[in-house]
Amino acid sequence: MSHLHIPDGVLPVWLWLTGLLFMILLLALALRRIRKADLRKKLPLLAFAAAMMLVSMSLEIVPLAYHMNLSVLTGILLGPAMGFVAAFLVNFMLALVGHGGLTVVGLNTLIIGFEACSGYWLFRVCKRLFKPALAGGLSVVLTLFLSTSLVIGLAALSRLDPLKVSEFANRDRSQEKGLLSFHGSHHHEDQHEEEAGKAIVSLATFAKGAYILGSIGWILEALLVGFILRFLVQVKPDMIST
Amino acid sequence: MAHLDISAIDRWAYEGKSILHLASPCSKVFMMAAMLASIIFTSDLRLLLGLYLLGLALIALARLPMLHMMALAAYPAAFAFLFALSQMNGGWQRPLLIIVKAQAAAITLLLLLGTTSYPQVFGLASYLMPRVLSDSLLLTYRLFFILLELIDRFLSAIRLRGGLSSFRLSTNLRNIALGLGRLLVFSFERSQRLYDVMNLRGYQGQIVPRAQLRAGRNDWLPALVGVGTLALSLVWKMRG
Repeated sequence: MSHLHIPDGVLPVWLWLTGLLFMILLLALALRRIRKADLRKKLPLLAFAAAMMLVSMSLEIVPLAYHMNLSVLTGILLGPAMGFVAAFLVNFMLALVGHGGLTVVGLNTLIIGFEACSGYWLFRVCKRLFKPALAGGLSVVLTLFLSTSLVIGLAALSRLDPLKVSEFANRDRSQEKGLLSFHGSHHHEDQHEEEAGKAIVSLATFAKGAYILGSIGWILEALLVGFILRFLVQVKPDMIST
Repeated sequence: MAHLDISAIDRWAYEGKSILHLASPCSKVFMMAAMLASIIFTSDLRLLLGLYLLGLALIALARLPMLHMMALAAYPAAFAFLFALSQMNGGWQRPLLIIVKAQAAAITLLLLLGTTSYPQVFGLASYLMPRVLSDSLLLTYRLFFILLELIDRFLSAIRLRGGLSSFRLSTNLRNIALGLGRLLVFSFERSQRLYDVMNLRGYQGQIVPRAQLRAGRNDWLPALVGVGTLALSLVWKMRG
């Protein structure tokens, strides 16, 4: 649940276009930052990291049939800039197999890129207090909680039309009935209040499902990343340069 | 691996000899873009179903395994179903629309990838993104298969030694972590070697050759489908 497996045509155009624009901006910044440290030298490592993420996504953990994406670990090992570029490479490849739409690549890169960046920074903080394995596990749980919240936020946003939001903002504040009650005109307020209520309920159900099912995944991925970090500390500690 | 069948799609794209396989990547990307644009901008269920059926007809024409393709397209649609639940306003129309859109879009993309090899697609992508990204995509694509083979071998070895069991989650996690950890160390070391090899061979920041934007005699079908789809969608939009 840490990224949107949503194909093209489902999300509103303004939302995925905004996602693409932000992705391009952040990707340019990330590439500029890596370029300072010789991008050509980093290219094979970047490709290996992205391929590793793809391979980990293809592994199932029996008996729960859960699949990971190792974005937090990638952030910890490569840093935020390279982690973000790796997130783009993975999402582009996945979109080409119909695993999430091409138009959703922007939003997905922002979510997975956020996981890589947040994982890197949280790990840096946690490592001061705990051993790397525990610090990595904690970073995974916190990051995946945040990214799941981001996904739920996007699901909520996908119901908003920015034009109508600005209309809504211009209205008398006393008419405000709730976040989703802007759909429609003044004449049908009762009907729209009812519809908004239903939308909020279904979104709440979606959020509940995402948090409950997601939390199982967060714990599994945290354990896995913890075990991997413990292995790396024993075998090749210089890989964890964070 | 059922949900992420990059190797199978790759094989179909390379082995196929249909008219769609022989058409230039450029014309097929145009066809996909036209179909995708129609799917994105329409909210008419009949048109969406029509586009989905058109995708299936083209898959049959390309002699791709229909059921396998439908199963691959159904995987993202299952996630779209979860998203559709969040969009219910008491009615079933919007969730249904979301699911049909998801299916039609996924089948369109799979049609392109089942008839066009990844390097050809990356060659076209190099027009839209910095060379370093298209090069990284190609390297990622090649390395994915290398790493996949290594992890498959590792998992087979572990399974044969009884290291993966249906009921021992903790042991399974530890063993998979061990495999991924070894793979990470391998990747880290190999990436430095790969850089040395690329340097020795004179890498100057260009691996993917740019795809040629020329039309060939097999391009009439994708071009016709693309133009036809766009025209139909426009007429539909104006009438509706």
